[in-house]
Amino acid sequence: MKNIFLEFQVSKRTRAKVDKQRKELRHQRAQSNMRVAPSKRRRRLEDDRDEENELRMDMIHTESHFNFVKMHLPSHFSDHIRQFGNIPMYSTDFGELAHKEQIKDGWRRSNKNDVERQILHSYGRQHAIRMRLLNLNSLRRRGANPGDDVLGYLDKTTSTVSTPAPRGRILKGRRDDLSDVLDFCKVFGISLDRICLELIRYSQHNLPTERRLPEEPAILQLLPVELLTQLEIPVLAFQETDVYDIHRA
Amino acid sequence: MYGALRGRLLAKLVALFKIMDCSQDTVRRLAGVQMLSPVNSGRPSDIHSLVMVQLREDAREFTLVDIGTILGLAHLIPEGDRRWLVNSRIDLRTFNKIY
Repeated sequence: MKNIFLEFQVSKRTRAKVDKQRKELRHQRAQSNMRVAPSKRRRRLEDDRDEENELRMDMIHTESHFNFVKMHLPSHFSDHIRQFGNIPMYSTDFGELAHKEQIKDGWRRSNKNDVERQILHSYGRQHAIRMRLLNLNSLRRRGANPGDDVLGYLDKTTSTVSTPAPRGRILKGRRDDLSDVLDFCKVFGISLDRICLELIRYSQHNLPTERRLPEEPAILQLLPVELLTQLEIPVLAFQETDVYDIHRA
Repeated sequence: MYGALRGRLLAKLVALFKIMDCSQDTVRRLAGVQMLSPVNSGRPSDIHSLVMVQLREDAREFTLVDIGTILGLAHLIPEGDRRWLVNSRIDLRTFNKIY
C-alpha cells in the first residue's frame, strides 16, 4: 500500500531534501563532465540520470511514512463510539445544509423587504407542503385514494388510520435430541429439582389457577419438551409505524 | 424501576423451548434466562452516560420466562469481569451496517 500512494503523499520536507540532493549531484557532475570527451559525454549523462532517479526513489522510500492525521484518526473510531455513541451524531453536515436551505434559499426568494419574516415564512411553507406530501404517500400506501379535496380528506382521515397489529414471535430450529423435561435437564446440566422448582415458580406467578402446570415432580419430569434454537422477535423500526426489524436471538 | 432502563431488565438467553401440559392440552413457549442486574440502580454513568449491568454471584442460574416477555435483543459491550455496558446510543440496524 505504501508504494502505491508513495508519489501522492511525499512530504514537502522530503521533496525539498530530494531537490537539494539532486542539485548538488548535478553541480558535481557538471564539473567532472567538463573533462570528458564530447563523444562519451552523452552516454555518461544517461548513466547519471538513471543513478539520480534511483537515489531519488531510495530517499523517498526511506523518508516517507503514513503517520499523518487522516490515517491515524480511524484507529480511535471504536473508542469514540464506546464513549460518545455513533459518529454521524456529531456531524456538522446537517447544520451546514440547514444554513443553505433555510436561510440562503429563503433570502434569494424574498423581495429583500422585511427579510427575516419572509425567510421564516418561506421555510414554514415548504415544511408544511413536505409534511402533506408525506401524509399523502402514507395514505396511498395503505390503499386510500384521496379525492380532489385533498386537504379536507387528510384532516378527516389522519386520526382514524389505525396502526397495524404487532406481529408475534416465532420459534425456529427444532432439535430432535430430547423429548421430555428429564432430557432437558441432561442437555443443559441442570438438576431436576432446580428445573421443577422453576417450572412451579413460573406457573404460580404467571398462570391463572385453573391453568397451572402440575406441581408433582414425577409428573413434571415426564412432560413433553421441544427444544428450539432461534427466536425471531419483530421490533418496530425507529420512527416507523409499520416497518419491523427482526431481532434473531 | 431499574433507573434509565425504565422497567426493562437484561438477561442472558440460555434455552428456548416449548413444554406441553398434557392434562390441559396446552403448549407453553418458554425461555430459560440468566438475569443480569443493573449497576448503580440503573443510573447512567457520569463518564460514558451508559447503564452498566452485571452478572451477580448470588443470582439464580436459571429463570423461566414466557417468550412473550422478551422485548428484543440488546447490544452489550464487555466492561471488565462479568460486567457489560448497555449500548443505548446506536441501534442494532446501524451497528450491523457499520461493523
